[in-house]
Amino acid sequence: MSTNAELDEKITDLLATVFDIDKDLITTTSNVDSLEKWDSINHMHLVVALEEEFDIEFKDDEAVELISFELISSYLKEKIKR
Amino acid sequence: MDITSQQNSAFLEIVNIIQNKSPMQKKMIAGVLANSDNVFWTRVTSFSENFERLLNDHEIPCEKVANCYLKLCKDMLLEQIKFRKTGRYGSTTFAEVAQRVYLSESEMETMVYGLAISQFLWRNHYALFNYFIDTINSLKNNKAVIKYLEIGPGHGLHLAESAKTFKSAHFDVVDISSISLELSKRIIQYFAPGHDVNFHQMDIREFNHSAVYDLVVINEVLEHLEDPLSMLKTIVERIGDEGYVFLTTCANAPSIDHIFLYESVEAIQAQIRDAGLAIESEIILPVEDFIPREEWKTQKVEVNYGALCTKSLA
Repeated sequence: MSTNAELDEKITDLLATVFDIDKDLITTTSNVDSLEKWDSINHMHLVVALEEEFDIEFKDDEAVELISFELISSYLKEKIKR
Repeated sequence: MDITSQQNSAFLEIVNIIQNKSPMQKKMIAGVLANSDNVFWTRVTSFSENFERLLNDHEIPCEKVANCYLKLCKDMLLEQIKFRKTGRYGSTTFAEVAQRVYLSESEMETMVYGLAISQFLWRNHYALFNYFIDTINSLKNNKAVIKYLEIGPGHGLHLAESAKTFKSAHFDVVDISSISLELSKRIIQYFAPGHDVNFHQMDIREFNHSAVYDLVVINEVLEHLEDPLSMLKTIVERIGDEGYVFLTTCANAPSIDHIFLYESVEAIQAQIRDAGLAIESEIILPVEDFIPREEWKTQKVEVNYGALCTKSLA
């Protein structure tokens, strides 16, 4: 992953795919409250999709805490850096 | 009747704590509460009054119950993630789960109190609870239930409903976990006081009782066993020719204490038939109800299932 913009783009694509919504609805401030389809089942699908896409594994607490675009981005940057 | 009927209730206090701690749950619960009918609120009111007395008498803070529920949600999410990746449940043997859950007071409390709350907050759990209440009320009008057996009563809310419905029946309750049984006893004391229920801590296969039961209830137990078919066959031996079995279970529903994976509703139905039972009525509740049924198995859609069964006329 080379730039933050590319990472944001990938996260946007994943959120749009998992939640089956238009990409235009997703911004870097999106979160559980702002996206109607971000429920517990879709959250599970999202965590699995993120792990597969970036070939990483979230710790138990992290998987529960990924409830906003910003947090996802932050955790991914941390993990990809390692 | 709506949420305003719950002012100052234990249920609302627990729900408020959950919502304050979890944005995900806050959204889900808001949706549930906004779309609930009078029956729901009547049931919640009754539950809350009894539960509040239990919590007060045992000095259990609402926050502890809320935390049990949140831990249950977290455990379930983590198991679901593992299941999606492996296609298997995390535990495979009863001994493993017993060590991890059934012999742990804190884990059992999490399960019992967490599931008592999910009974009202999770759409499918509430639908199964409704189906159970409707079914036993229908049975009451059509059949004399003199002898009642429940295996693994869990939070005891179904047992309490049965005790109130079949007032003069003889009740036997069997559970392998002493901790679970104590929690069930506690629930019965508050939710169906004055009913004489005989609790037996043992494996049902060792429950050497000559009684022939009119109704055997086994809710959310089969998926906790290594060999649920054997359990169902044991139950068939315990009901009379006119007896009934009420069961609930689930497919593709990982949890820290689930062992036996039913990969489809059809697998559950087939096992019921293999045990010598016929399905009289059933309820099938996919969690992702927008996915076509023919795709449930391949997409590993979680399904809650309930059925009223009789002996097959083989």
